[in-house]
Amino acid sequence: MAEEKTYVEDIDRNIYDIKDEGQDSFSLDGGLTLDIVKQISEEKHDPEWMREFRIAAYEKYCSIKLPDWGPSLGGLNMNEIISYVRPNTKMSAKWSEVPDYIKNTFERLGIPKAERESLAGVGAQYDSELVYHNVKKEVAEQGVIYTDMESALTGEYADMVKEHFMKLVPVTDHKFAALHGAVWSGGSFVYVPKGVQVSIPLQSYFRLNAPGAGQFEHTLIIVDEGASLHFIEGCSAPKYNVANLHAGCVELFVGKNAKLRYSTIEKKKKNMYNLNTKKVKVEEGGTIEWVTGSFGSHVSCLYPMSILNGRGAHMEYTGITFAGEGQNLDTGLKVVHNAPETTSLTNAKSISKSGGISTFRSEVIITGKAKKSKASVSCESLMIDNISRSDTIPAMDIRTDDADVGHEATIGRISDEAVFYLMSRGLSEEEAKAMIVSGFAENVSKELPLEYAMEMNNLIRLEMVGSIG
Amino acid sequence: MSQEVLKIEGLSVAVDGKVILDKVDLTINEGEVHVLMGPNGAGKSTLGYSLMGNPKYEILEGKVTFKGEDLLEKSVDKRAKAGLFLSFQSPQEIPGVTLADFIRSGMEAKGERVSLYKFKKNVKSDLELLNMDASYLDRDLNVGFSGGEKKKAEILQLLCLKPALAILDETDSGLDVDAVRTVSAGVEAYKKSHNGALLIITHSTKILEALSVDRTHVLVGGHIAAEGGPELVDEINENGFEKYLNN
Amino acid sequence: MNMTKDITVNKIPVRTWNHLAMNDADVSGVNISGKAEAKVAFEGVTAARSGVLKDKYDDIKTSAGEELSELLAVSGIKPDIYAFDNRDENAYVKIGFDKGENAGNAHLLGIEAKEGSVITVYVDHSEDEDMSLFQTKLYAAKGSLIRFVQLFHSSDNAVVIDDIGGVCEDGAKIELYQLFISGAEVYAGCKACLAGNDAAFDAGIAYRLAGNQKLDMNYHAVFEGKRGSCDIQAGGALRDKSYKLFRGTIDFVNGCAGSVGAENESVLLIDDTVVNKTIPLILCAEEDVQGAHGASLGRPDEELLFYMQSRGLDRQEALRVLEKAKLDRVIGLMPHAAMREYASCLITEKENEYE
Repeated sequence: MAEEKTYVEDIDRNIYDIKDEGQDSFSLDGGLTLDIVKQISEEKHDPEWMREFRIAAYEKYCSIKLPDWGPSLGGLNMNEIISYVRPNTKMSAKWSEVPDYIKNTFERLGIPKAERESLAGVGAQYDSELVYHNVKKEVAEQGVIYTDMESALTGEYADMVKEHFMKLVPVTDHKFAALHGAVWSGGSFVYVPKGVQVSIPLQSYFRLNAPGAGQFEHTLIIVDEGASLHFIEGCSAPKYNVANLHAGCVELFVGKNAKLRYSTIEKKKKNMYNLNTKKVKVEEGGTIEWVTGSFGSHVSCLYPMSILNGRGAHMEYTGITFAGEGQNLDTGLKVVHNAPETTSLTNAKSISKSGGISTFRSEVIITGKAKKSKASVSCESLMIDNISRSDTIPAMDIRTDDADVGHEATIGRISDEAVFYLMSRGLSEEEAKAMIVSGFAENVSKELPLEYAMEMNNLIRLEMVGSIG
Repeated sequence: MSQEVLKIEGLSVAVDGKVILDKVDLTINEGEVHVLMGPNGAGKSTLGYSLMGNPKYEILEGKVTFKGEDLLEKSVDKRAKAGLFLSFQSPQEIPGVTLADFIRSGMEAKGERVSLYKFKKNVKSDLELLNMDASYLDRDLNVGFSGGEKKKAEILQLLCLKPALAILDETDSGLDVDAVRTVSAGVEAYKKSHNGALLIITHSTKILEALSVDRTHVLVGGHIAAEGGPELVDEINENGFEKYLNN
Repeated sequence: MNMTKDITVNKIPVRTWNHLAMNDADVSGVNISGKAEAKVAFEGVTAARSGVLKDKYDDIKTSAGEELSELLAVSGIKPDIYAFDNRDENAYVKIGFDKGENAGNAHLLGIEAKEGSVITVYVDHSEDEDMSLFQTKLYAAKGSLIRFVQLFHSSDNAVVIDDIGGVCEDGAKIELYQLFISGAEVYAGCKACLAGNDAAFDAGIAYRLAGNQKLDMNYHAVFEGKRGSCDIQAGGALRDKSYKLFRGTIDFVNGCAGSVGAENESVLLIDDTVVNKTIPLILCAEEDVQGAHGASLGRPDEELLFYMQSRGLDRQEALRVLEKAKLDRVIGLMPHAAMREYASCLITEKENEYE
């Protein structure tokens, strides 16, 4: 392949290029072959460069080892996953085969029947196209491009896509980034031109019915100088797929003095391995805000990375993770301060219950260029019972004398006195605990649009009380 | 003869294995105002917490009847639903839960359905009475509240939840003169509108000025050392607890 | 007896991204030439005849990890184990090492405090050059207190691997104080297991690094018994091209109800070329615990520097004062005046060397 320009090359490469050299705890054999990758490319009518890109990514996928840290990925069934992405394979299940717990959850969340079937991956597709087209039209009037990745590849902005595609997250990042590069499908492309303030949040939900979406989708968002956007990634209920790996990729470019808020409420079905990779590069005076709630999945490894590359660039991370029964949710963030006066503010919370494992993992890197930078990390964990687990693994690497890095973490339980106080006003013990946990999560819910905030509260109640009040 | 609300018979309570209350008897009838006085460490707050059911307080023996039913076998929330209220000396701070949501949850637990709009409308006069700004409703429960604001928020809850018996645990302590007057007005309103009974744990008489006290109990070393009418309050204010200490 | 091996030490109990190079430390060419001869001075105390540590020695886990222990086992060097049944707070033991021509470079030490007793042990590390290896195991029986103090003021060529493992029974406490004043490359740490109920581990760690000095640390408090407590306070100053990696883990094992763990690090960065890495972990498998860690890493407070300059110190002098304060904090925790004075002298000596 020709020269591969990456957007982080001006950063001290040493920080990135030491690759994870893990031992294979199991092999991902079976499944993906070069032929399948070529076939996918053909089906999608890829331009030539994309076809080459997929093939190169496939080769990387074969050579990169699995990570030797983090949750076990031993339950991944690559055969099933690969046959799902293989074109012309009918993988849709029958409503009767959808597990009861998924059906019950739909029921309790009050999702309409038609939508339930769509979310379960069976039956007729729920027609969100109409909503999508209306939104697309509305923002198009402001000059915003909002389209699916496939059409972006060949459309008017094809060059822009080619220039940015997997430059921030190179396929060498890790094994699943390579897999993504080889088999990616679906996703959104957004370009917000200079100075445009997009008033309504764009939601990936509108695009959910694209085939293969929600699994290997690629999101590419470019917010040009002085522009602003709020993008919401999420679906309104646990999506039931036959295949259980989600290895999407999100690449965000925030221009000078631009602002992007990227919100995610993640609540996929509980047999899912969620290995999404998200990265943003922020230019001078720009701001990225991550708002994230992780509720679903069997295993999650989610660490959105921010590269603050211009003077005064700013990051805010507000996240909550709720690990319930059978869940191992490894979440957190990475931030690299690579320019003077950059600032980052992290506020992470986690809840562990019924044997769930939650891990907060972070890295804060201050390079020698980041004079007068400030980073602050605050991390609070709540243990609901003593069969669960909560780990905090924050790493900091500071290479300048002129920076200010603060870190705070606490772990604890719901205080008996607080429960007693709420119960003395008539709430049952479960209600009291649910209320305290909702309050604990409020820093995230208050950052979300109302319907998402309500949904999040419902999810918490569902976990805590087993019903929605 | 008015009806009995609370009847405590021979109640003994321990905390961390240490006996704090020793065979306490006390009866309160509908609408009555009782005052509980006593030196620090006498077990006054323990009585409040035990009646409300704080799990840290171990009931060793005794019987408590509330509106004819066994109180001690009920969980804390059932006691609240039955009409018992405790105003906490230092109420917990609960981040992320607004005062309005909290009070509404308490009302709804009792089976009352109140929309946020209706609640805010109804509570307006109570807020005025307590000299509280409406913005308090949207603030996180007790978080960043001053001592006085916390006490007012407790009384606001009392007014909304309308219990049959309210135990006020030193609700007037640490307040300036104006704040005591405000809190006292709130308590008076509760009494008037609802004919609610009160057990007031206090060191001072200011909060009692607007109320007519029916009975006074003096708790010393975990047991009731003296009982009497309203005059006992004045007597103790003059002479202190000394004469009860060595009994 | 001469062997050379590459080993990995100071592993954190839960791994994270490898590119950070914080998961562990590789030490190449580790060489054991023989047993270092210890010079032991007993100040107002005698070692008790026998204890239980000699039977437990091999089972006590340490911070450097298995690879170092295996290497030491192969070398055949036997530990010097001392048991104490002392009640006198004024008594202490001071250990130094013989630097004679035929002296070896590795030493294994065992300190046991018998039930209800208290003992303070000072170890003076003034290694000359090349590599030295030390392993210490501490056993605090019921209700006892061990204070283990180490002063590292080795030469600027010395590579030191220092490895500690400790066990506290019911109501016992280990206090660890370490001062890192010099040495080219130092690997240090302590794994303390609060095995009994109401056990405690406190650590005060201070460092002052300059030049190309490297300090790689790994502290790990394991809460097994109920109501354990732990407080790890680390702090120091970095200059020039020095490198510091602090690993600190509070590990709440299921069943350690009522335990409280805290760790804190405060680092003063004086030059632009330093490498300052910190990874403070909290691992928690128990509901009824409180864990907290904090870190503040950055430049000296300008207000404070200004204040000192207004009293006549120049900026460099003011920085020296702040730097020394980090060390003085830990010196202040040492219980014996004579040893405090000795430590202060060591610092001043090194300071004069720099100037």
